[in-house]
Amino acid sequence: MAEDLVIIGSGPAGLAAAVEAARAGVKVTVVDENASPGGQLFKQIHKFFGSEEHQAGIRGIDIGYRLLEECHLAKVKVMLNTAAWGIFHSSGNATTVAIKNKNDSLCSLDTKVVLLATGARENPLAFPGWTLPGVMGAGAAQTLINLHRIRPGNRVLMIGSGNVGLIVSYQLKQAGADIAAVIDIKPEIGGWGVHAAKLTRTGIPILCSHKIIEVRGLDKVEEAHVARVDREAKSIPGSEKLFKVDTVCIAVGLSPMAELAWSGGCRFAYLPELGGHVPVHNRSMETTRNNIYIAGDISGIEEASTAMEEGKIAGISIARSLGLLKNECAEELIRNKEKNLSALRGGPMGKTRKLAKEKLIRLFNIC
Amino acid sequence: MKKSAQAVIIGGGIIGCAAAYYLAKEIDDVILIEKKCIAGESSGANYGMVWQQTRQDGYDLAAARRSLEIYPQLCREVFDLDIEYEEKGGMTLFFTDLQAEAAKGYVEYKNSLGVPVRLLSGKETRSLEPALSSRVTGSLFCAEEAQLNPFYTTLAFARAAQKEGATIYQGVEVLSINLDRGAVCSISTSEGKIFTNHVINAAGSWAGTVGAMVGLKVPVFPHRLQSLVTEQIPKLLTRTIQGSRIARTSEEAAKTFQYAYDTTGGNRPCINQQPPAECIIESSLFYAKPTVNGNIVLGTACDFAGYNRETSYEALAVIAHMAKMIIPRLKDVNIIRSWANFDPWTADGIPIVGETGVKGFFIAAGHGTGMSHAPATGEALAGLITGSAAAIPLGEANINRFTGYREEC
Amino acid sequence: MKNLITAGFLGREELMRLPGVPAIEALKAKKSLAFIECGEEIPCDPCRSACPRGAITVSPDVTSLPALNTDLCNGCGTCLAACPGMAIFLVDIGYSETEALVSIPYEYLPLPEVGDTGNALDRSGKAIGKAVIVKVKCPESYDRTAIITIKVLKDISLEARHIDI
Repeated sequence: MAEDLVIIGSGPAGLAAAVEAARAGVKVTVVDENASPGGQLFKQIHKFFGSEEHQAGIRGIDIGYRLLEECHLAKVKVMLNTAAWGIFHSSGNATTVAIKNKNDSLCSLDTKVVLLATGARENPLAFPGWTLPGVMGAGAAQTLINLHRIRPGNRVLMIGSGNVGLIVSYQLKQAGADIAAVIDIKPEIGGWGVHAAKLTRTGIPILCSHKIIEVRGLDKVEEAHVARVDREAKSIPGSEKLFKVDTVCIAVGLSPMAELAWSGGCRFAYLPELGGHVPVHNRSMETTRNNIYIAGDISGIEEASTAMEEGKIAGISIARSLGLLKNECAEELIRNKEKNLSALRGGPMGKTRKLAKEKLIRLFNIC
Repeated sequence: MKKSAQAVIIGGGIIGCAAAYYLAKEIDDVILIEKKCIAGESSGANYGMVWQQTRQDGYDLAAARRSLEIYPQLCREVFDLDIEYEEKGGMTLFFTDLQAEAAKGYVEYKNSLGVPVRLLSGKETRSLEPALSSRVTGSLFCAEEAQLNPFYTTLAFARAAQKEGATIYQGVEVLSINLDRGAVCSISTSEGKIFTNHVINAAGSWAGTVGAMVGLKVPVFPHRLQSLVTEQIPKLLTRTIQGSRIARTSEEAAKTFQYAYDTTGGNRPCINQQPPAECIIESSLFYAKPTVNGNIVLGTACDFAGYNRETSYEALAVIAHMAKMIIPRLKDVNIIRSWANFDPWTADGIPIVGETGVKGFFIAAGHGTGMSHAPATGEALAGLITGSAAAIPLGEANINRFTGYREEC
Repeated sequence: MKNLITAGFLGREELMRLPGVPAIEALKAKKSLAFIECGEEIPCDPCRSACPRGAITVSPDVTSLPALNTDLCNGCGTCLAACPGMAIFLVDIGYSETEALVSIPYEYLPLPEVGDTGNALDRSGKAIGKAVIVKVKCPESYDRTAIITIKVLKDISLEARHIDI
């Protein structure tokens, strides 16, 4: 039995798309390899930024509950513990999504349209001692504290001062950990000032132009060596600092999880501003392969709010392509979401992303 | 770009690179031109088998046996990188008692050709490869067979060729081959013209396109082979294994060991023969190659789909099911990659090597067995061009074995 | 905003340039005012809609820095819990002759209790004097962001932004 739309990934982008499409009458199945839906939303215990139309001021976790409720009402089918491992073009216009279900057996879903909302993965950072137990991705630490209610350690060094590094440091502190410091090799803090200020006023130092030299410990992290760096990012002798910590978190950026788009034959562009190799797409979030759409971090690293807006655009566009939404109606809805997106990418902090996203759409039209 | 050369090789796969090495040892000014990059097609995506038990009597077997002789010496004396050459023997599995019976005659025949292949019982097979399923009722084992890293081997040949003075141009496309009174005089490339009297078509699955530049029909077709690569795991297999089609009748069993891609029925293949149209994925042979790094390369599912490089769900599922059936412990192993490559295919399963009706235009293409043949083919081709004595006879591999070839000329 | 982007907190001069931070004269006149310590043009405006008196504007864009109209602000503190960045504080210098109250958004458990004492910390986390908790508010409408009010000496009321209990 062929599906209308299979969405891979039940994070903010996937669920937002599912709701929009299902409301227009599209038969939607969402697959996710995790045991529960929501992607990263349920780890986001902080209040979101933005405007009213972006659900600003509401905690990510609550936005997650809202989305799930909306999915339920719109009769979206969600298949959990189900990993998608390939996208194939079948005969006719159908697309085959290869999946491994919870019984570990291979099977496939034939569908008219696929939306890849697979999100991103954390970038690793290698340094002496990085394989010691206690060194982990900031996202992993966030999963431990916010989903599993387990504090990974008592005293933490955070590497990376982007929003992830800042927010996870704050949340680790909320969970009762001491944050020895947040360090960043760049001369300026990567994340937003308000996130940084929440930390500094509690006495957590944010050390820019500092890098990790080594993590030491017998069979787990015991101390972290950090040094100040010069303009070439080389450590300055004599500037070494030692932090007695049991946990080192790495928050040095994210990369789009775009393997399925590669396997589906989508054309890519390399845009470091968006996290690396990303599939090019048009205004409707459709890739260069017919009937393969993308939304969220797979189309460039941003945040949950933008992911949801992109998901909505994809959901509306897909409903239109299946003949379930009139063009004028879809166009109006899309324009509205584009306005929201534009606001979220506004200001000097959003400018780089905004330009890169525009470039991605321009590249779609260049063959 | 150089303006002239004594010989120009078209194609930077294993055959082209080996030919470049052996030619450059003998003559100056050898140029290799590659449209993409060295080992960028099939030579970078195959199982790296250097086998003789499956080779057909004649040139095919002679080339494989000669290569098995040469490789260890190349590794010792020539290559400047480790090609992961390991002579661990090769194993062909079968699954029914009828096949075990049919294998007896096959082993006798092979032994008479000098191939030291042995018949192993299911128990003996599993003592060598404990991970194999109890469904395996026996195997053909040949100790004098090897495996290698095909990508490194191609690269090693390319570097050896450069050391001998060959020039390699990558990212350069051949646009035309120009003749003067029926003989090769130059080639035009995307980067300019090169004057030369010798051109070697080593373009693998694209040999037909290059042949057409001198008005020759070269019946090599892209045979799409799909493969899976597992994550790195603790050692599960020692050597490369090949499966066979499950035979349930004695007729089927008798066919188990016909590797001749025997579509010609003993007749000479025809120059106009097209590859079979039907999908043959379901009857593909199983391959499992343990790499030095701990990955296992699993194959294959073959069909003819032109130059469509996509993998298909059906094919990958067939491979996965075969793998699970034959090596049950693979059930819980993750797949990290899949690929489709274009194995060059000829109607009789034998490559096309040698001179042609066009003076100065040589062919060394159609190797579904490039890793097994490359050193021998390169050596023999260099001998043919420079006029030195041949280690193996090339005659049977010539394109003129195809009926209708002369009419084409 | 050099200090904000290199050290993670607003310097005194950076602070006084912000349209959401009242001038000292206005504070002296009104006694109790919001301090919107929001120094980067990020797309965010819940403070605007939170203010029941329309004292906060974010214009022309959603990324514009919030501006406080000190004539309209009556120091009610509704905006404190609404700010996702926890960047708004309330300073009440009319509390007593020598002491002022500072209200701070606070999301650590367990919540402190009235009467608890500790060190008042400035924006950099440095201890700058004694602080006593005088009020802890966490109604449902604040959505789990408590507002705690500390009593400090008047001369540190523009610096005290956290309490270490």
